[in-house]
Amino acid sequence: MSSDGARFATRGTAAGYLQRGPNPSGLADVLDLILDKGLVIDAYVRVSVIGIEILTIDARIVIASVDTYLRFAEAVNRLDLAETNGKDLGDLEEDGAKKKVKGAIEGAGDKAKEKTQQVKERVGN
Amino acid sequence: MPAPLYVYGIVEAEGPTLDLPEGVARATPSVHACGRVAAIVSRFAGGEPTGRPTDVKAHEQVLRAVLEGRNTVLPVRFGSIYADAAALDRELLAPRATELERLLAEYADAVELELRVLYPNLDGLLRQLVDGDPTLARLSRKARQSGSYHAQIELGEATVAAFEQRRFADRALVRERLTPLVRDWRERDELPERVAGQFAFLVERPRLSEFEETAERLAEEVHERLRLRLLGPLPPYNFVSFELEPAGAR
Repeated sequence: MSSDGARFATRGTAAGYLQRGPNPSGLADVLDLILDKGLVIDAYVRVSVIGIEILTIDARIVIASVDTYLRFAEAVNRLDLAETNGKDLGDLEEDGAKKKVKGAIEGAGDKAKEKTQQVKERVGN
Repeated sequence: MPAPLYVYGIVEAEGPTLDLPEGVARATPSVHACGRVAAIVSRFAGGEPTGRPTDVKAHEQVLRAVLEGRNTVLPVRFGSIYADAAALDRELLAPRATELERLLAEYADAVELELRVLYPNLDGLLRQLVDGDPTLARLSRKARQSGSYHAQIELGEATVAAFEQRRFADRALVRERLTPLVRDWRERDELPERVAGQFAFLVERPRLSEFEETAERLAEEVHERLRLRLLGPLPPYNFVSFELEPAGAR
C-alpha cells in the first residue's frame, strides 16, 4: 500500500488495474486541463498557443450520421473477415505522434476522416 | 522598465517555501505576495508572446509542483500576463483579495482527480455486441450477403445504437460507484469512440485514499472490458472556472 502515508497514492497497486498518472503523460492531457479551464483574469496580454497540433488525437466522436453508420457497419463486416491481429488500438494518452494501429473501426475511408476533422473543429477540441 | 509577469495560479501568501520547476519561457517561478494572497509568477521576457508546447507543459508542471507544497492552488488559465508586479497588485490581488481568499478556503481541503474510462479493444467490444444481440447478428449476416447500401446503413445504425447503449451503461456504473465519495464532479458529454467516460472529481483530501481504493476495485472488476486511468491529484481546474472581471470595469 502507500508508503509512509504519503499524500498521493503510489503508482499502481498490487493488482495494477487502475492506471495512475499524476503526470499527464501527453500534451493532449495538458491542453485538456489548462487551455480553457481555471481562472480567467484580466491580464495585460494573452499568450496564444501556437505550434500545437490539436489534430493529434483520434478524437472521432460517435455522432448520428451516415458516415458513422457506414463506418460501424464496415467494422462489423471486418470482424468476420479477419482476426484482429492482437495489436492494441491505443488510447488517448498517446500524443498521436505515433500513428494509430488500425483496427476495424479505424480502417475508415477518407470521408470519415474528413468528418472527423469537421467534428473536431466544431467541438473546439 | 517593463517587467511583465506570467501568472500560473493563486495561493495563500503564508505557507511553506515552494520548490518550483522551470516555467514558461524557461523562467524560474516565484511567489509574489500582496497581503494575504499571492500569485505564482515568473518573468516573461519581452518580445512577441508565443505559446509553445513546452510552455504549455511548463505551466501545468509548475501548478502541480505548487500543489505538492500547498493545500491548494487556484489555477489560472494558460497565457495570462501582467505588465508588471504593480499592475498585478493593483488589478487583481488587491481588489479581489477577499474573493480569492474565499476560493482558497473553499478548495483548501480538496483536490481534483480526472478519470478516463477507455475501451481498450473496440473490435472486441463490437464482437461482443454482435454476438449478444440476435438483431445485430441478423443484420450483420444480411449486410454481408446483400452488400447493399441500405443493408449497411441498417447494420451501422443498429450497431451505433447498441454501442451507445453499452457506453451509457458503463458510464452509469462508474458514476454510481464513485460520485457518492466526492464533493463535486463533472462529466464530459461528447466523447471519442474509444472513451467510455471522462470525469473530473473534486475529492476531499481525507477521503482521497477511500476514493482511490474504490477506483482500484472498480478497475479490477471491469478490467476485461474497460480500462480506467486516473490522473491527479490536480489543482481544481474543472471546478474553478469563471471570470474575474477587472476591478472597476462595469
